[in-house]
Amino acid sequence: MLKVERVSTGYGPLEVLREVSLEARAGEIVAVLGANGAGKTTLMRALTGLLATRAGAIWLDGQHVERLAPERRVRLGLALVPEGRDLFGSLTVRENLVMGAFTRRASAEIEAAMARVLAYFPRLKDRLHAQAASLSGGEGQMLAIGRALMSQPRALLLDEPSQGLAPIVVEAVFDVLARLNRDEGLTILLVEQNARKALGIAGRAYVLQSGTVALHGTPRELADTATLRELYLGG
Amino acid sequence: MTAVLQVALAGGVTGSLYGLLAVGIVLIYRTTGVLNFAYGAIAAVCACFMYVLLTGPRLNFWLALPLALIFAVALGIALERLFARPVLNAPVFTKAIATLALALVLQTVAQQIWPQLAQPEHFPSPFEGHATRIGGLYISAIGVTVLGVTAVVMVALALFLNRTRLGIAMRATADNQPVARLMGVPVGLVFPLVWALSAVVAALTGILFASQQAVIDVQFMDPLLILAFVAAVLGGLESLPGALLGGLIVGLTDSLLALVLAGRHVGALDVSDPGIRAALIFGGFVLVLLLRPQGLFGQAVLRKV
Ligand SMILES: Nc1ncnc2c1ncn2[C@@H]1O[C@H](COP(=O)(O)OP(=O)(O)OP(=O)(O)O)[C@@H](O)[C@H]1O
Ligand SMILES: [Mg+2]
Repeated sequence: MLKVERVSTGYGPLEVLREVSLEARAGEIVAVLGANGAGKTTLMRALTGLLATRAGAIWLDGQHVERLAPERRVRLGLALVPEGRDLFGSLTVRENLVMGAFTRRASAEIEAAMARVLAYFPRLKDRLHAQAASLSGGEGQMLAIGRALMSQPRALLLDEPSQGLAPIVVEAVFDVLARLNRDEGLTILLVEQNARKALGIAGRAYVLQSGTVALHGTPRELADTATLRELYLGG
Repeated sequence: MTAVLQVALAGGVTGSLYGLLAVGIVLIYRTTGVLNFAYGAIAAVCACFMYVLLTGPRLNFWLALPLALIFAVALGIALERLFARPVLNAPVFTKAIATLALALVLQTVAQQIWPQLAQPEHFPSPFEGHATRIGGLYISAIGVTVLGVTAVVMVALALFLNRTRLGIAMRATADNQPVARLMGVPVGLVFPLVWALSAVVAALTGILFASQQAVIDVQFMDPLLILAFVAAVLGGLESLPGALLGGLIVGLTDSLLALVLAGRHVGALDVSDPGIRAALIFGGFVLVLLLRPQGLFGQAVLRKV
């Protein structure tokens, strides 16, 4: 489904990712764990095309996408829930959702996508005409995920969706992710610092350390490794 | 009473012209981060093009108008490509200075192509000489047209920006450009669209002002531009209705000052001079900014930069 092969990239003279390879097969939930500054967000930028890769390949459904503009990759079925949500704060909730479906033209299709999103996040229904900037943290995260779903992606990327949320809200968000994966077979690539939560729903996980993949395996395999325990699960 | 109404009407008409320019300035600034000091020159060049159509091939005004607006669209797209895109990632201040150079280039080129417009020329329009009296009030055809066009432009812009897919995409791009790209918005198409749209607003304003004055030259928009910037900043540089309101306030203040100061002297100083009014308006503007740096209607924005 989504395959990253020896990708390197960075900012100016700074090389952040070095020969990163990872894969999310169709229907999988894959977690990418890593400390602050490990390069997780940089990886998301490279996958979505906001940052050009310097070497390596990215495949989406067997198609090379590393040279394609972000909008082309969205059309091919890739959607990102950005770090810190990155909503269009001055737009309404509804307009944010409409923007999520920008690559879809038929209005019937857009309405259907919206109905589906609102079924997953009924809380948003009452806030459709509120400014996105006025949402609570949890509502904002729901909107960010809903907006990404509006493009009807086949692979959903999430950059630290649990960031800044109360535990009970994190629970609800992860529950929706699990349902999307189970009921619709959505492929999910989940970047998290909250390793415990991420390993709870992921089938496989990668650990990013200083821009390289240090470890990968199933949650059970990883939970046994000393590195992961020390770094993320508090000893 | 009639005198005051007459002044209010005049102020509303010039205020609408400032407001339209301010709207175009805010539109470009919000979407592309360019504080466009060349906006007056863009308006002037489009109005000059209209003048050439009216006086050269002697086209009918209503035939020349759509051609001038098409010219504006082309000019807007060309400026985005040749000027705005190369400096896209420069700091706001650098871009603002660059627009001053752009204004000079536009005016110089226009003067080379149309040397007759180096001096003021008569601008023919169907509004000329048409006016009516209602009560004691003198109402000119061009005045009514300015108010009508302003209303139509504002409503059309509001509908476009709030109701259409492309309009919402434009606002989303203004809000957060990288994320708009992530949603699949071809930002490379949105920017030229913004420039084209604001060039059309500029052209309309220029043509209206030329019709009102009945004279035109290459630099005839310059005095308006500075007050349009005052209006845009009063409106907080973020909302289109705020910009229009800013324009109306500036226009009304100018007219009221003209009424109050008419024929008066302070010592040897003739205070009815337009220069004195402009100075007073700037003084008031600075005072407002000291008290409310975010403009009259700007809110402290909930947005990261
Ligand atoms: N726009 C940028 N320009 C220059 N350097 C950057 C930029 N963004 C990130 N970096 C650097 O790249 C490295 C990796 O950053 P990145 O944001 O990918 O880390 P992360 O794993 O997402 O961290 P966090 O958990 O804090 O979100 C850091 O050293 C950071 O300082
Ligand atoms: Mg990050």
